[in-house]
Amino acid sequence: MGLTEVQKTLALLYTNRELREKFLSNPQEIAKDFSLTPVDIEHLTALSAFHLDEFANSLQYKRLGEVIKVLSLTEKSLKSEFSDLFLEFTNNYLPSGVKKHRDDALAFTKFIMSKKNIPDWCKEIAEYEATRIELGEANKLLVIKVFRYPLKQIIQALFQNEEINIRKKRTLAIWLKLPSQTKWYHRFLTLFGS
Amino acid sequence: MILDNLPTLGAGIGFRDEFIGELFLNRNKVDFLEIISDHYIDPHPIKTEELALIRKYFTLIPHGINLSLGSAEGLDKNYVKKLAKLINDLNPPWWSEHICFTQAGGVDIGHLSPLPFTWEAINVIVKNIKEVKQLINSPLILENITYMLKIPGAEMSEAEFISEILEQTDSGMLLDITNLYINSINHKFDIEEFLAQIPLERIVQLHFVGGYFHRGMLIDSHSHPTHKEVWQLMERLSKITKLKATILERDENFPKFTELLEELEHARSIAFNPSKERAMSWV
Ligand SMILES: [Fe+2]
Repeated sequence: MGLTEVQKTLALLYTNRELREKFLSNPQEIAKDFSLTPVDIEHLTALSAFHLDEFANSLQYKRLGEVIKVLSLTEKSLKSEFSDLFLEFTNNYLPSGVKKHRDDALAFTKFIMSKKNIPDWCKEIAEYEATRIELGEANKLLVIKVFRYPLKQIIQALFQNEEINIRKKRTLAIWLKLPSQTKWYHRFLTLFGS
Repeated sequence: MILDNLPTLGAGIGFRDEFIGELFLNRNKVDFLEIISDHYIDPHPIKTEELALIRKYFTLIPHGINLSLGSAEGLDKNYVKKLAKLINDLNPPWWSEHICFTQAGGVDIGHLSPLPFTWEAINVIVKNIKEVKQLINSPLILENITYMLKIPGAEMSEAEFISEILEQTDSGMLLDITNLYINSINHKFDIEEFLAQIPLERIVQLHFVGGYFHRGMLIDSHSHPTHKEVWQLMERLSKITKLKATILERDENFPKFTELLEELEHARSIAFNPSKERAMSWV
């Protein structure tokens, strides 16, 4: 009761778009579903719809900004579709804790890889960036991933805003670290005859 | 008051990975660093190395963002333990957190969210602060946040709310003058009235940076040069408080590092070396 319930309700309204939309169209009805006192209900229903929406949108925008920082290549490859997909993704995923932005980015790459209508080379870029993020926590000295596209050339083209060559060419991405060091060495190896 | 013996640190900057190279090239132009505590809790080995490096050269002030001091359901004990260990190991002159809540019912909001300005909220946050203070040796200073949304049911003004918390917990204040300016624009209140209601002697440190306007609201984006009104506010506060530190809190849209250094130098000239001509030539 009291502030505990009010805060639980607010946290959901800020982060759950479906609930927020229902609440804004019929606040009295939705507020009844929480263990709120009549005074709390009165206060919550007096919340400014415009500002509630603005705050909720700013939270999503902040998440998007943090994810772009670590998935910049994926963002370049998907262009404006990146933010549309992210919006869709946030309907069903809310990260928590001190590593929430990292977890958000990793979960989003999985979401991208699970989508049917995204080009395979874009999914490989997402997978490549996910591997880079996971390296930080990896208790390994060597990581090798096989990709179907020439990622080195694709990444260069993305950086230079050039047209992407989407012909398949099997590529190994190799990360190597020396014991007791934190720095990873990285190379691509394009395989012949693939 | 415990705050009387705090050292004067000068003009510092919120440490961000983006400018670590330039920071070390300009070490003598940055008086100290504020670090986000959460970046060094359960850290990646690279962050551990980074912390060891920056603490060798700078005084560090830990700044928390996930403690959720205003949570009515209480604090996350596991998080508090880790935070306390980090801060006690660093042994800083002080550390800071926000007057807000960031989680409830297992939901991490992902941002600093406003509390209702009520006695119930004061009782909650005071209890939580007292609990944390028992575990952390360095003094705590508390920061005012921006809020897009006002929680209905307020029993007092924001300034009265903050003052009550500071007094009941004997804490210092980290006055974010950008947040104060933004709130005064978005919620149309008089900054002078706010200043008249808070215990000025408790202000230890200032935060400053710039935001931008969006759909009629000034956004706390930490992404632009400091507004001229904020510089004027810093000037005003330097005359009525005994500032120990000012921190430029830039997070986005980074300009050349020299521009950040110019802002630091300007803050230094206003807050710690008042020379009217230099200060006023900026705005
Ligand atoms: Fe701040």
